[in-house]
Amino acid sequence: MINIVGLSKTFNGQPVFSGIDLTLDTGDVVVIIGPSGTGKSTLLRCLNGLEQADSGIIELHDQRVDLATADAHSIRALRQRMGFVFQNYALFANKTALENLTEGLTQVQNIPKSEALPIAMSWLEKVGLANKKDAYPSELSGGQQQRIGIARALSQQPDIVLFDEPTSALDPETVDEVLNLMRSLALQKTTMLVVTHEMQFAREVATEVVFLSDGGIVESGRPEDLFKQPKDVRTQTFLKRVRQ
Amino acid sequence: MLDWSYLGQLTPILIKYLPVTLGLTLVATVLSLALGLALALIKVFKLPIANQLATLYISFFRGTPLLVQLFLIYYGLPQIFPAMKAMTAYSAAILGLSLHFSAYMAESMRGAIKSVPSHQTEAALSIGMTLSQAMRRIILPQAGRAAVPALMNNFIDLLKSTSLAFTLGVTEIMAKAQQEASSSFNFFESFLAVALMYWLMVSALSWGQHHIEKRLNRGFA
Ligand SMILES: Nc1ncnc2c1ncn2[C@@H]1O[C@H](COP(=O)(O)OP(=O)(O)OP(=O)(O)O)[C@@H](O)[C@H]1O
Ligand SMILES: [Mg+2]
Repeated sequence: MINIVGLSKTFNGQPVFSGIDLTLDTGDVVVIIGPSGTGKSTLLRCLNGLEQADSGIIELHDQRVDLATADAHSIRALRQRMGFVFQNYALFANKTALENLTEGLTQVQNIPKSEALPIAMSWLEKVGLANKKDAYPSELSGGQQQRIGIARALSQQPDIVLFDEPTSALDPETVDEVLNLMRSLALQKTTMLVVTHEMQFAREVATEVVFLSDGGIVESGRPEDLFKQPKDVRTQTFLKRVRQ
Repeated sequence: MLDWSYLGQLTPILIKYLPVTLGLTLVATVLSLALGLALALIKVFKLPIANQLATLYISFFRGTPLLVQLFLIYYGLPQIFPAMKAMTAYSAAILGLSLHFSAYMAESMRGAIKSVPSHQTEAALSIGMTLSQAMRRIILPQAGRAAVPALMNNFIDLLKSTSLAFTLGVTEIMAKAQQEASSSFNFFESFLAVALMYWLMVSALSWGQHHIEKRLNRGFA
């Protein structure tokens, strides 16, 4: 189980959000939706220490980290258990597809190369890109890069994977290739926290949908409830707008 | 007009001093690369105090002529620090060239490091790398490629600037050409010969630079 308690963040004294609580059980897919600029990316970035939170605790099974005060060592330990998938893929440009996966295994987890290679290859196979193992990111399409990005996150065997708008930089035709991969991960009980504007995906896959706006969680619930009967007027307005 | 036979005699004499020019170039290049990288990292990470000192250093060595810096080091510093009286003209030339070009190379490398998008660092950190792992394995290799064109230009400048070592009394190709010119009065041939030698070396380097860049960009954007 993953517990996030009292997460708050300000930029230059301006609050982005405060008092965010979230709980994910193993295999949960929690989807965060909300208007642009409400801090969805910032929330994910605070969770893995790319931004320093003003306050907030994360409990990842047995590990408890105070995100406002954690030292570099415990942040690194946290990151090893938390995959991150970036909107713009952020594959290592100087590494091949395969090396993008082995890099963390050999350098961070200290797995010998002979063991890391088969792990990495099996992930490339799972995302259908074993034949691209020697390609550099610049030689891959956006959809292929994002599938490698997802494979890179998952090959480190994290307890949870954070996705920040994983399809919003993609061409409309390739969005499904990434969403289908995420659907299959959900079926395999991968714990995921996903920021996305893909409402159809949220409706099908999410175990919980969280609407973030005006500095906090306005409303959250099962997708069938939240999409059909949003309680708050802000949720109603937002959903009406994205449906058009 | 042009004394071809004199040019023919002079060339082998000048070539004998080529190792001095090349030695100055190579040693100063290695030193200024190392010092330049340290300065670039200090500036990229904005290390407190060191950052201000690095800025001052770079500003001084880019803001004053190399000739003045060489005189300051060779003729000036020993007056203040008597221990430096033992310094040879060759060492002083290397020191001056290294300090001067480290400032330029620092700027070339800093620009290259900054040109690597920040999401590359974030991705490295996100899988649990330390900042130093991220720098060594992800950022610096990419910055290295990006820095090649600017550093090659610095290198070519440095090679040509070794000619100023003659003002300290180092006998490299320029100094030899000067000596030969004043004893034979064949000023035009002497300086033409040395000019052609620099030109040839720089052309070879530019050709090499073109090929290195083409190779580095293969399979990689
Ligand atoms: N490094 C930063 N420094 C200062 N302000 C920032 C920084 N990063 C984000 N912000 C501000 O914090 C707020 C939240 O930004 P964030 O990117 O988290 O929003 P978002 O919900 O992900 O938006 P989008 O849907 O457009 O991706 C915005 O007002 C943004 O301008
Ligand atoms: Mg965002």
